[in-house]
Amino acid sequence: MKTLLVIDDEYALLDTLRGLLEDEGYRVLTSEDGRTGLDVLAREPVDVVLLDLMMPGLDGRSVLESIRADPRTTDLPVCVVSAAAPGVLGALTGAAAVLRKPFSAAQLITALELALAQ
Amino acid sequence: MVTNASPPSSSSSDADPPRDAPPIERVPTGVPGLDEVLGGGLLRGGTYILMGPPGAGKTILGNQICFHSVAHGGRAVYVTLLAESHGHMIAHLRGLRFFDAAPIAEELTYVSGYRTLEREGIAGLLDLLRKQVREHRSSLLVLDGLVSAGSFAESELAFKKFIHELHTLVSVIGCTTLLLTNGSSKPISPEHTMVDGLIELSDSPRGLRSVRELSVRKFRGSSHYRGSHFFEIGEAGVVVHPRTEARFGLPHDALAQSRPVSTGIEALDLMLGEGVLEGSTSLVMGPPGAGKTILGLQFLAAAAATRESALHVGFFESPDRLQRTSDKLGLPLATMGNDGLLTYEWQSQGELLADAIVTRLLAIVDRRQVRRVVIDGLQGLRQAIVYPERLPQFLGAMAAELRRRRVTTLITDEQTEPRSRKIAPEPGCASHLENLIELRHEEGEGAYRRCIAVVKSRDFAPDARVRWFEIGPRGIVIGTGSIQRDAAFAAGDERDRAAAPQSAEEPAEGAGRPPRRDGQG
Repeated sequence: MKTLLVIDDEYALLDTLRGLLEDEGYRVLTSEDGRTGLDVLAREPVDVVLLDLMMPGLDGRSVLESIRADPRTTDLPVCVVSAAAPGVLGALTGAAAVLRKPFSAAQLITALELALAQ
Repeated sequence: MVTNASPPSSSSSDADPPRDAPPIERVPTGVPGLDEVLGGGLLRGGTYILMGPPGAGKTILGNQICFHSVAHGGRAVYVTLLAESHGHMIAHLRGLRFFDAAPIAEELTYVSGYRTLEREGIAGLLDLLRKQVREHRSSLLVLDGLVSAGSFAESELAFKKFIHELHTLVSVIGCTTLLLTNGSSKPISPEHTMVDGLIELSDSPRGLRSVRELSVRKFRGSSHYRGSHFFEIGEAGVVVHPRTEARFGLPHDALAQSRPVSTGIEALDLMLGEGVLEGSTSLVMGPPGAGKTILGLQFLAAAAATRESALHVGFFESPDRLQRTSDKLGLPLATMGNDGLLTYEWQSQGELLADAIVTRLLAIVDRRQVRRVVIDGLQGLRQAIVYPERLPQFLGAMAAELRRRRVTTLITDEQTEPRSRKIAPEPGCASHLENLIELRHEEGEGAYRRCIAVVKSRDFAPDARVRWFEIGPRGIVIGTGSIQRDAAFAAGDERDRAAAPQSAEEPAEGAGRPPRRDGQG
């Protein structure tokens, strides 16, 4: 069973994704901000991260940079989700996959599988 | 982009800056019509409540202002509390013309503050807002869901304190702030007293239609248009139509140096005295089929002689039909159209708004330097005005603004009681109009014929005789003699007058019949 960490400031979305992805067979961990997300990564083995870009405090870009800079997580697949324009998402370095909000469950599953495959 | 504001009006500001202080910079909202209502836009660093029931348009308006800001060099943060998810909100905005995905997550950031509010209360929310504004160097902050913040305040005083501290923060930083809320059940809530402005949106039924209205209930530091203004939400987002009476309320006498212009019918010019004054507004009243539209077309055609630009604002006949009519009459309207001297602004039937019509009309007048306008007819404006009691003031304001632009205007008005002697303009309207022309059908000489009379000419000495006219191959032809009314028709009038309630304005002799200049009875 793969472990997925979802980092997103929208708590309602977190609850929804938890239920959805647990049904898909993932073990789901959640964090509502970037700092807490990095704390979880420091103590829990995670197979893939679903990371929101726009968050208060430490935003998604900063979290992604921290993940890549840490030798323990440098190769960790990260799927970035955001309502940002494709150009912005495409310019991100270090993301294994990008998913534009709003997304369907099918699109989410496909993006996670793509991230895990890399 | 910010622009400097004009000095605030002393009549409406309740916090005037010191006289030696520079004017407060304006932050244009970019919402069509709204900046005019606000006297130029929001004030930089001000805190404004945007209040309205669900579906009133607060979220679209808040976002529209954000997108305008970032498109002009600003940076914005949109913080949601218990509102729709960011993804869905943005998806709903994608179909609107102001939407641009490029600045999202760059100059425009969406974050959720609800968890912070839930765990740390309004103090934590204030801290989050402070950090967001500083980190993103925001010039605009939107907090969507203020009522949720109020729910977490321990007391009204604590909530007022939150608003006050936020207000202080953003005013120091210079970050203009919008607080979106459904409002409370109280007419005056504590937060209303703390903010610089209060803009209320509503969406209410008026008969079978629903109308959206915006009113600025409070706006410190600047004059603004008071009262309600209609607005619409469409592909352009929110479009506000400032109330015509609020826009053009100041009186002036632009006709003082005006010259007479022809109506396009020489005989009518003589009946009026010397035609009509440039910049004047004339009302042509009459039953269906009396010739009002044709008179209007001849009025427009008169512009051809001087190569002036003309505009036809119609509600009921399409431009194609009007063009066919004018072709049959040999009027040069087709040539004028080809030369760019004639514009048709056809208001196809639907739920129109009169103020929007005036805005479009004036935009065409300015763009094409129009000198003659026909509005065919008043009943279309009447249907679009929503509140019927507005009509006299609306008409007066519109006429005043057209007068200021030196546009000579002719408005037709369909009257539904052709046999009545009481053909008259809407109560209160006549005083705003320079000329009143009446068309009607009369029985005379054994036939049912058209006749015309000048009821009022403010600027010249009119010939008040009622004359026959015909619509010939070249349009309206007015006869030289005055009409002699059929005795049976006159008897019918007597019965009408006997049945009508007595009025103090009715003349004692002839029971309501105006005096005949030719002595005929």
